[in-house]
This record gives sequence, C-alpha cells and structure tokens, in this order.
Amino acid sequence: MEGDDRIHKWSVHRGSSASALPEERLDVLAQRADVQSLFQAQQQAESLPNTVWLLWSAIAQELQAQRQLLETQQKELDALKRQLQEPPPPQAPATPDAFQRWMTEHRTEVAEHRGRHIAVHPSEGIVASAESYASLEDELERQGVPDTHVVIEFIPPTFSVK
Amino acid sequence: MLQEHEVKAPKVLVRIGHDGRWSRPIRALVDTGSPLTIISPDVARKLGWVQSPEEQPVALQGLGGEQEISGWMAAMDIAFLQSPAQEPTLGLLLRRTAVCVSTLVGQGAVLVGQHESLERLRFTQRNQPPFWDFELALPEEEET
Repeated sequence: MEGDDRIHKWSVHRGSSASALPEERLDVLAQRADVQSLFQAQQQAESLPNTVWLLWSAIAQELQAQRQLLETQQKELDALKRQLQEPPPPQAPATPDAFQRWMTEHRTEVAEHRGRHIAVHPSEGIVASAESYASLEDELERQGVPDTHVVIEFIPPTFSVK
Repeated sequence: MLQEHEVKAPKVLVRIGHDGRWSRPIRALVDTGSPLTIISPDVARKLGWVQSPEEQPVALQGLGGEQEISGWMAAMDIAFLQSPAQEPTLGLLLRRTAVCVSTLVGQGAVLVGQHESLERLRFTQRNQPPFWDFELALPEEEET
C-alpha cells in the first residue's frame, strides 16, 4: 500500500529529527498533515468502489423489481386485450328472451297480425307490419329503424290467442 | 296447450348474407326434418340474388308431404345470432351455405334445414323451464 509506505517513511524521518529546529518541526508537522490528508483520501478512494457497488446493487435490485412488476402488468393487459378482441363463443341461443317475452305477454295484439311479417321491439312492441318480408323491410327503412333494434317474425295464420 | 307449444317453437335469430349484404335479424324456424334450408325469394332478392334463367328449379316436398313446391339453389351466408345487435360476422357463421330459394307457405322468411346447415352444427334442446328452447353451436372440434 502506497499510503502505508509514506507513513513509515515519515515516522523514520520524525524519529531522526527529534532535536530539530522549530522551523524544521513546523515543516514536519505540515508534512504530517499532508500525509494524513493523503491517507484519508486514499481510504475514501478505496472505499468508493464498494459504495458504488452497493449503490449499483440497490439500483439493480430496484430495476429488477420494477421490470417484474411491468411484466406482470403487461401480462394482465395482454389478457384483458385478448378478452376484448376475442369474439363471443360461437353459440347461438334460440329465441332472444326479450322479444319472445313481449310477444308472449301481448298475444292479443300479436294475433291481429296473423299471416303477416312483423318487426318487434323488446319494449315498444310491434313497430311495423307487412304482408311480405320485402315490404316490411321497406317500411323499416322508411321509418329509419336500425337493424339492431328489432327482430322480424312471421305470425302464422293459425296463431292462437289462448 | 297451443301457447306452450309456441313458446317452445324452435326458432333462432339469423341474418342471411349474400355478396356482402345482410338481411334484417329474422326469427327463423328450425326444422330438423327439412333436407334443405329454405329462404324466401323476398329475402334473397333484397340481398341482390337474381334467379338464373338457365338454372333448373329443384323440387321440394312441402311440410307434411301434402304440397310440392320448387325452388332455386343458391350459396348464402347464415349468421346465427344471440341478439339483433350482434355483428353477423361475430355470430355463429356458416359461410356460403347451400340454400334453396323458395316460397315458404305459412312458414315465414327463413327455415333452417339439414343440408350444410344443421348437419354442421350441434344443438342442445331443453324442454324444461326456464329454457323452453335450444342452443346451436359449432361441433367441439371446430371450436378454437
């Protein structure tokens, strides 16, 4: 170690100048202060890499933790994206309940349209009626009824109110 | 009794597609005894279908075998839907299915039969409340 050598040299020098003049002693004291500051600087320099390493380790651990958190969040986001993008299961129930329910609860009104095609809204009921599908579609177009609001049903001539 | 029967009537919500156009959502009758899916000329013409003058009509036996009718074969898309608001392409979709365009006397606009339609699907029928009807679905091997 360079610092230790310098201390050793200085000790030898001090031992050999015990009877030196005051000016010389002052000089020696100044040298001693220099060496001490050098020694402290060296100690700081030697301890610096360790501090840096500790700091870097802490940063690396924090980065790793953040990375893992981001990966977890990304996986959750991907799963949510898949849920949004995936089409509903390829399954079709029979009669949509709301439309069937309205017709079941308003059989007398439905019976008035025997032998005709009707457009049924789940809450407003029969919004249009015609003898054929084509003329019913024309009527719905004229009224501006969107495709998504009604279903088209044919009421058989044998439809019974009871 | 008639009311109960009609509640249980096997009807499904469909839209018929042809050349990129789709019909309105129609409640179609499911007839497992019908060899073909039948679509009324009204629906087909609204989708731009034109009867070919060269094509020969096919003979169909009417319900109960009492009446013989004729129709024309065509390839159309059938989308089985869960609600009228559902996009046809997101429903249970059968592309370019062989159907017969023919007048359906007393049966509405669309009747779903076996050939290339029901035979490609599986369905679950429930005759107990609260579900009086049934569900159509793709066979297991086609579900991905």
